[in-house]
Amino acid sequence: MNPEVPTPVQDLGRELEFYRREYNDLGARVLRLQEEQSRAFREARRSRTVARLIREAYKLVDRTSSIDEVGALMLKIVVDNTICDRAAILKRAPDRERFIVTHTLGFGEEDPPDELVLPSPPSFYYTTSATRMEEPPARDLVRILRLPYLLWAFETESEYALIIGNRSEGNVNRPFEAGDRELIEGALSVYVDIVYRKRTEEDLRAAKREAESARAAQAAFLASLSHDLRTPLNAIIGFSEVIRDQLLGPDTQEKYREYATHIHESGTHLLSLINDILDLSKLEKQGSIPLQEEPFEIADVVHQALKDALPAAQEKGIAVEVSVPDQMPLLLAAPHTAGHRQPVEQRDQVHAERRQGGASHLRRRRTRPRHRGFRYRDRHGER
Amino acid sequence: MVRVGFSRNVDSGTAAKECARPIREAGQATWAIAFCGGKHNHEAFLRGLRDELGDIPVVGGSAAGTITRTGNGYGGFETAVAGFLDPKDRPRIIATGRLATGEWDAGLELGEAVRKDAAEESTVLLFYSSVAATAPVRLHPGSPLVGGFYHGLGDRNLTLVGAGTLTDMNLSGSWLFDGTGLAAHSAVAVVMPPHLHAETAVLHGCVPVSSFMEITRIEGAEVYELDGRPAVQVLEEMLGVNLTSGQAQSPSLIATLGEKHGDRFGPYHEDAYVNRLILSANASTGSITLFEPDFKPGTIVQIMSRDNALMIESVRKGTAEIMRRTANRTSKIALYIDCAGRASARSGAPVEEADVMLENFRSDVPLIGFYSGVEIAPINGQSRPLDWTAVLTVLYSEG
Repeated sequence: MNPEVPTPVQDLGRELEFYRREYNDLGARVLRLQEEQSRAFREARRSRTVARLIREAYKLVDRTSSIDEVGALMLKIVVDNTICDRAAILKRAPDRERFIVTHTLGFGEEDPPDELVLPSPPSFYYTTSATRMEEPPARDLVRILRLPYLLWAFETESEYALIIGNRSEGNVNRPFEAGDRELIEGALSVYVDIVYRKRTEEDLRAAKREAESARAAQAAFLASLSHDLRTPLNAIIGFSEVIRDQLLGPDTQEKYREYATHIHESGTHLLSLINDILDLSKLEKQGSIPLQEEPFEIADVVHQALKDALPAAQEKGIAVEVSVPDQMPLLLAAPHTAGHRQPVEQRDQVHAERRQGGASHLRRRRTRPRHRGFRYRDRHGER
Repeated sequence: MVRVGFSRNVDSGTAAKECARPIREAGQATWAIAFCGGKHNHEAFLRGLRDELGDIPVVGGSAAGTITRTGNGYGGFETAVAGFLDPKDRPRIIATGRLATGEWDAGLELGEAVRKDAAEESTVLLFYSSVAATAPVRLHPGSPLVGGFYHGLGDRNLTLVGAGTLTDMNLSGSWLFDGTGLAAHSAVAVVMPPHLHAETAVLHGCVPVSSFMEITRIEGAEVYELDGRPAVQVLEEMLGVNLTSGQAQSPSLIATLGEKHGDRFGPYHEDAYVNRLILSANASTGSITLFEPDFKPGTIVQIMSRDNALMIESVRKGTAEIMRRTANRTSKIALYIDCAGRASARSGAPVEEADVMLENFRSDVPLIGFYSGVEIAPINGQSRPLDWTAVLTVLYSEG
């Protein structure tokens, strides 16, 4: 037998070895192709994740009612899409040394941190098994989620930060990498955008509420003023009729002089009311008017009120009685614009000014006289 | 009657309430199967469930994700509960907390207890907590648990279906609802009443890409040599990547080792393979760590590649097959146990295979599913722990 000519068994052995080798090579190629395909799908999935995350996050604009709610739901979307273990939103504190942790997700029974000292936050950062964890910023950032593998983004303008983290490096399919910047910054910018939108919405709602309140106050003030105008006008008309028609006879000059004085005072009071209207006009234009405080005698104001109200009261058969101690020493500070008005009107006036944005100290000072013994009784009862 | 609830609320108590609502609206549940995403406070979830459903037995545990018709996902906050309302469907529940002291012994304890109680040809659901330790990850292997179970069962013939639970895809932890409360390092056997039978389909997704190789050195789950060469070297040559660099993907994402049962040289058939995920590759020893320690020296294996197209096709075929087999039966509930690695985020599949199952399976049967670490289902007449599979089981009664 020629030793160089292989036997059929040797041929079969070589053939088997050939097929085995070819099969393994083919198998390796199939496996690598499968892996490349899977990697391509995973990368495509990452792109889809960014798009989906942004799409889902923007729905929060309509689905949420408060900024706080936005944060909680945003983290839910981030965790759901990135399949990370934990996530948190942070806001830089005014001292610019610390970050306040505003929202967290994934801590389970563990208490999340409240804040973190981080004077120089990076705008983007991630850790892998190659990161030197004992050096900043890794050393500081890993304390937020208490997980070694993290992805961080910080927006200097809004001063918000978003961080996600994993217990194991290859979370689900691969470690964090520079290419994840788009994902984390995209999510953060969407969050900031929604927060700003929500804040604008809240500001607009507050402004609307304020405007409606101001309109109501203005209406109430004008209604009150219309009523107030009638009182001195009635006095003027009533007393002047008495004088014109000499209803008390020709020989009561003293009484007519007194009525003329009432007419003058009522006219002065009318002027004051008109000044108030002008003040209101200024208030609407300028937003505020300076108030000047002056001392005044309580007894004078009460007597003035009596004089104004007396004709109308007499006409209706209402007895008006005033009791002011002669030596009442009280001198109060009151705004110049309303200092000479009746105490019973002061409350309404103060109320109107307050509702139009007047200073709160005015109320404290103005309400004090009432508490010191003024009582006013009319058909609505005593106040 | 069975009702299934689903929630992805991040608040554990609220999630429990949302899951329980459809069950409570239908009546009083007598027991429940519950799966709870790993980011939840599991105690609060169970407490919330009991507040809503009463102090009923709850079995199940943590899940890397859940699958229902209402919703599915694996973000960590998905929860699902199936409530059984008919008192006749109440099972016998046997639990053991001895997993930490020995998986075989725990299985033996359960098997012996089941043998005393279970009728012939009963169906048993077996759930156990997969993760024994983290950093480094160590698993409770399913094969000694199932081996011990069958040993304790003796000659009793029954259908065993089950899963090892996980809190997430990163093997961060696992726990169990064992019928009385919450437990770690535990296993629970749910012996269904005799009138409820099971049909099961095992859905695969791996193809062999190598010739047959012999495991020439193995200790437990650590495979040191294939055909006399370091296992890592064999795999790296095959894959064209450095598995131990720390930069490569987890080996479990790339390849598995498969053992072909039956005629080794017969045509390819997916049901013939038992696959083992590769947990890690170790540079210092040149070895690879498998999910299960059931391969022995001399076991003939092939390197298997995941095939996403095959996986989807297997789901379609398996779902159609089980619908055919249960067509004239009164289906009570479908249980879908899905390996977490099959999820699109991990496998890179262009579609979620769970969605494909939901689209193809009949919609009139209540369905609850979850993402698991290990699946247990019959292969060649005896149940085994499986990797990278999905197990679709329908519990039915005749007529």
